Amino acid sequence: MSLVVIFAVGQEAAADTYLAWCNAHNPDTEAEQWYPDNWLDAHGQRVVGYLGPGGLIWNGMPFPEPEGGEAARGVGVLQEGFDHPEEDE
Amino acid sequence: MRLGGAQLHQAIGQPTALARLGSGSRASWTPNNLGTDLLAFWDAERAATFTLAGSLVTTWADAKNGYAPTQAISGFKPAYSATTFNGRPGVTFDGTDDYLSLESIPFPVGANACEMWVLAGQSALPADATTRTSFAYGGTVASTRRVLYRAVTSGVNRLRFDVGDGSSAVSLNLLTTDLSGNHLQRGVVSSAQIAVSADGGTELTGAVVPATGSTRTRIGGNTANTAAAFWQGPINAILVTNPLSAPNAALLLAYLKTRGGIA
Repeated sequence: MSLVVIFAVGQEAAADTYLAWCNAHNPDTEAEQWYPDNWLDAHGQRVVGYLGPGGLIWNGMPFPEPEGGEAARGVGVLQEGFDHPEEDE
Repeated sequence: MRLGGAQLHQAIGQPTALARLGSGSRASWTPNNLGTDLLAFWDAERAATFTLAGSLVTTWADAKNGYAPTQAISGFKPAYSATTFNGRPGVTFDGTDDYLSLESIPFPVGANACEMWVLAGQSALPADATTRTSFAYGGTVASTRRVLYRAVTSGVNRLRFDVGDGSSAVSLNLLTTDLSGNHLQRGVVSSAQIAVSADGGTELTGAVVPATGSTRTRIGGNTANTAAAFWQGPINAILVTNPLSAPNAALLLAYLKTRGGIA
């Protein structure tokens, strides 16, 4: 399981801020972006992958969280994995 | 002294019966010997088939026909390592959000037959009840796809194989193997029946007329429009084949079990 940052319902702006910070500090510069704009868990909360050790392996090693990462996460809660939404049938 | 029959063959080092069953010697047999019956072979031991960002997998091309599932979102990319699977190369999926996707299906659909083989390590603990997909293709819902996955039954990791008939899915739950660690998964689809086995063991069968759709192929996640049911652990190889003869299936089984260090 990987670490992710969960933003409660109503904290979407904070999630956008963190995602923008991740996009700016992502070592994978050829990627579209670090994480999707609208990834939700089963409870409707925004999920952004954690850009740091436990969230990203880079060149075979845990990626150290860049300076400013904790501040960028703001009110987001760091946790291992998340509840995925039920699949639409 | 005159030698005859088996004694003569033994004396001059003839290939064993197993090698005589298929083309090529025992030492040189590879899945390529399946010829046109091999439809796709994603092989983590061929470094040239990967497009990497650092050690993250952006694209993994199949070695037979170049089918290349991909992942453009950085946080969703699985990680390649040269030693992660039984000391051999593997692509590790984190069980949270990693998957590779091919937005097409170059494999048998509808009720057409095929086999799906996955050599992988499964690292999710039984306390984690999440279903986790190793390989799937078809439509976007359970009733229109073929999927090999891990689920938990009575506190034990199990291999499952689901194939949809257009209305629902027939689900096989293989209770003879604890799917913890490295195992070889095999799903067989025919026009009226499916079968699943692990490590070449006892096969479980079920009746179904498949109605497989043609939307997408996924490694490490299901085929829903929003991917889910993510695999946790390293994958060394995935093959899609036509229905195999018993001798060729035995050769492929032996080849892959050797890679996985599976008894």
